[in-house]
Amino acid sequence: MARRLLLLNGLAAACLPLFHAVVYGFQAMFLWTNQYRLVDVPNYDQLGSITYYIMLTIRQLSGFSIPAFLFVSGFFIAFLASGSNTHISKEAIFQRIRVLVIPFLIWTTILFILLMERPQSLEDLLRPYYYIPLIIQYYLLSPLLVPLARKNWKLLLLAVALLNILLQLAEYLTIFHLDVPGRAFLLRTTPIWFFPGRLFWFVFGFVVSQHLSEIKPWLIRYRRPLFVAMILFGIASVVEYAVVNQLATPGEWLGPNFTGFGRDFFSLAVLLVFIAYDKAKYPLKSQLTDLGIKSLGIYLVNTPAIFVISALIYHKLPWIMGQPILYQGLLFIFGLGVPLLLMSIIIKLPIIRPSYRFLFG
Amino acid sequence: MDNIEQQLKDFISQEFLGDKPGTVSASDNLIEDGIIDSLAILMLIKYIEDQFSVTIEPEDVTLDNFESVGTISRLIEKRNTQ
Repeated sequence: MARRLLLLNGLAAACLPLFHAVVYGFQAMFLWTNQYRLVDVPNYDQLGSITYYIMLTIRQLSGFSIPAFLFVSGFFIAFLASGSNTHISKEAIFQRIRVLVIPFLIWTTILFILLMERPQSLEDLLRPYYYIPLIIQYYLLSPLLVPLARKNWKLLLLAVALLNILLQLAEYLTIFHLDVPGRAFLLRTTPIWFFPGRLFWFVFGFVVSQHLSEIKPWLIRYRRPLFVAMILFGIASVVEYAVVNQLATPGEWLGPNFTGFGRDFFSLAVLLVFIAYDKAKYPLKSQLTDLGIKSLGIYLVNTPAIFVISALIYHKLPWIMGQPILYQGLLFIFGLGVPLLLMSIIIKLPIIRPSYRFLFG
Repeated sequence: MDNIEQQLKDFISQEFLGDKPGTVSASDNLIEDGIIDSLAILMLIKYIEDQFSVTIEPEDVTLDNFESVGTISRLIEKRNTQ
């Protein structure tokens, strides 16, 4: 199982630069079109093109990265609460938080320097690396979640799943400008970096790890339908986005923030399929496992790396933005390559090697 | 047993402590001392399975078994004899 989780983490880490790069691709397609064509912006000529749908598919399918990271972190909490341990030690939690806070501060500072901006609010500060504040909150909440999960894990899982569905519904209501009492309050109090929004994935990881022996035989029995469901949910996530885009903002781009139910169900199916096919052979297994080990560093560095290369292309080689597949390829290569290069340089140089943990966790 | 402990200490020192030999003892609490975290535990299991040709089952992955180099090497010994 440990090997599978590393592999899952590696796959998620490889998909993360894709997930981020596609947003720049959409911006180049719709908002920066005047850099490579004689048109006014925003320009939505390419909305609905084959390239647009390829990019939308990449965006929706690579969106399982953060759920996968949270799932693996849930596994660690199950480990801390395992065996004869009736509670999770505060020392273990605070040690883990300490390791996360320093890289978060360093890379948030670097990113805002690159953006030449000063965060105007807590939201501005926490949003770029929202996974770190999220995971810190989950670690802090875990001494409360563990007894709840021990008492009635099915009820806990159902409660956090319902919370997730409720937040998705609130997102739908906002997109369609439907004002239902409580909607604005719900969205205002659940920003992306605040714990309720993605609590399901952490609890799911924790519960699956604790009850693997009960859950796994069921998953293995239904693994073929699960695999089919994963494909169908993947398709549904693309269709859902396209339909919502068409209905809510006809002829314009909906933007990168809409998740939808399809992407969540797809992410869930990916995680279940990964457990169900525990003996399956995967291409690039050792490379992906290696990426899994470096996932936090990739998460931290890919955003500034993609920003820098996209800024260079925007100013110096804007014609590349008119070739979406080439543009995406370059952003992905830099988004994944720069973090790996930086990590390998720092680990190889004895003088700066001690800084590795502060920079990459 | 001593050999297993030494190999584990070397691996942990090299991978998680910036290659500082002698910085981890057999009884150090790897979790509470912040030496290993969620990814490190997965790396450690992979290393154990590769290096000592044993299979670590999901039910083996408990804090009791992975608390220190000493408890891990006892787990490896146990798995080796089965």
